[in-house]
Amino acid sequence: MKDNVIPAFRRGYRMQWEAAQDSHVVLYPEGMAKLNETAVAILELVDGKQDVAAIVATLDARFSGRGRCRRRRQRVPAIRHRTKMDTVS
Amino acid sequence: MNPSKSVTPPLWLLAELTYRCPLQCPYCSNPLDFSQQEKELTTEQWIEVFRQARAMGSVQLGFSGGEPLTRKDLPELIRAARDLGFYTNLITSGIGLTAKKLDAFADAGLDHIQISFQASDETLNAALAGSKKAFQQKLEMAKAVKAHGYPMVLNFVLHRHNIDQIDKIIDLCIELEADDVELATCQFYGWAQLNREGLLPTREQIANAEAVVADYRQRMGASGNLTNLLFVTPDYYEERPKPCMGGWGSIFLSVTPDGTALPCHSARQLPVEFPSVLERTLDDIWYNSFGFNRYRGFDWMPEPCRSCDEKEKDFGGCRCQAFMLTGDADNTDPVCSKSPHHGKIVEARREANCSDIKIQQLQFRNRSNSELIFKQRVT
Repeated sequence: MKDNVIPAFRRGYRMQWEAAQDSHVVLYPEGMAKLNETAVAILELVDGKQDVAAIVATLDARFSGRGRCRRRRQRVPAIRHRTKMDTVS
Repeated sequence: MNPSKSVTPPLWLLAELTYRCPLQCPYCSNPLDFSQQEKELTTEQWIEVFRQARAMGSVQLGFSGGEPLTRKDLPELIRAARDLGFYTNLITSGIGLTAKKLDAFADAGLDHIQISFQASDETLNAALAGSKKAFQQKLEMAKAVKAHGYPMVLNFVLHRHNIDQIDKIIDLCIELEADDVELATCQFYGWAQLNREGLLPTREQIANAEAVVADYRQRMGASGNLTNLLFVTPDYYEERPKPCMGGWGSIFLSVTPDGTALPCHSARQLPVEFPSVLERTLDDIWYNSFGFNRYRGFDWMPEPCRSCDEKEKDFGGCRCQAFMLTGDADNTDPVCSKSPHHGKIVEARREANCSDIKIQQLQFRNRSNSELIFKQRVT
């Protein structure tokens, strides 16, 4: 993904907090993926306004001293709505 | 509340809003005597069911039926469910859908629409659905759903009369820009079980269809087409049963039009009593009712399941299938080759090889057939 790309959830996909799962999840047609903390930290910044460079900068500031975020970019979970009720963690 | 930590909340709530439907598909999973069950929960009663399910941790809500579009309060139900935080899925034939209704559903917060087709061409679709106008309407609505930006899942129920056209079906899905395509060979419950001999494809038909799907997947992958093809083979050609509903009372909760809570949509036919949401809370039903606990865990299992090392994988298969084919819902699903009743499945495969039942000879799912079946059973 290039730095100037603005990522966004497409229609039909959304992230929300699920108390019963004690975690954030991404919901999509007939399915749900549980997210780990890293995924949440990244996906919370995916708001359809910030580009990748801005998201990386925010994460760098927030997690400074814990390794550069550029590597973290590769860890954005590949969420596909292939399997139903599967989990990404 | 949850008496045992091993039981997790029902992630899926299926709301069968009504048994009314303008189509007459002969493989419908609705009960044969649906015409005797005219009572439907009110708007307020449904919303109360949603509220209780959501409080328990349900996330996915399917609006189904019958045809859910026949409920005039559908936008209101969608809005209430969405406001509660549900992911809302509309499972429809598309009959009765209009661009105006789509706007209203989108405004109410509907997340996803699945449209079912009977075939890839107008003539066959009309013969199977028992409606001449259905096909064009479905095409128009599929286009309208895409125009709205919705993720679209197209569902084709496959059987011996349409499975040989699977290439044309996939072509149509690509043309309509479906995101996901469910090519599901019909499962034999309700009306499909009644018509089994006239619906079950032959093994050869299944093998051909699988080869066509594999070929399309390869070509679509190579051309960058992201449409996902999901092919579901009938368990009648398997040697091990499917893990029905991901386990009894495990993730799935269905509520019928009159408010009966079920662990799967066809469980009503079992000789097990299931409670009504009008009499008990959903929480109490899910965790404490006899019906929902009847086949949880492994203690209920007779042999060969009891000592089988695959029981935690398939839970002994489907209770409804065991009941329909062996007369005892406790038995191993006869799909399993270890079942002493597996011969019933082998016999059905043999029937499929010699069947010459035409579409017109199938028993269509409509009110008069349903009433006739009910009368025959009572007398």
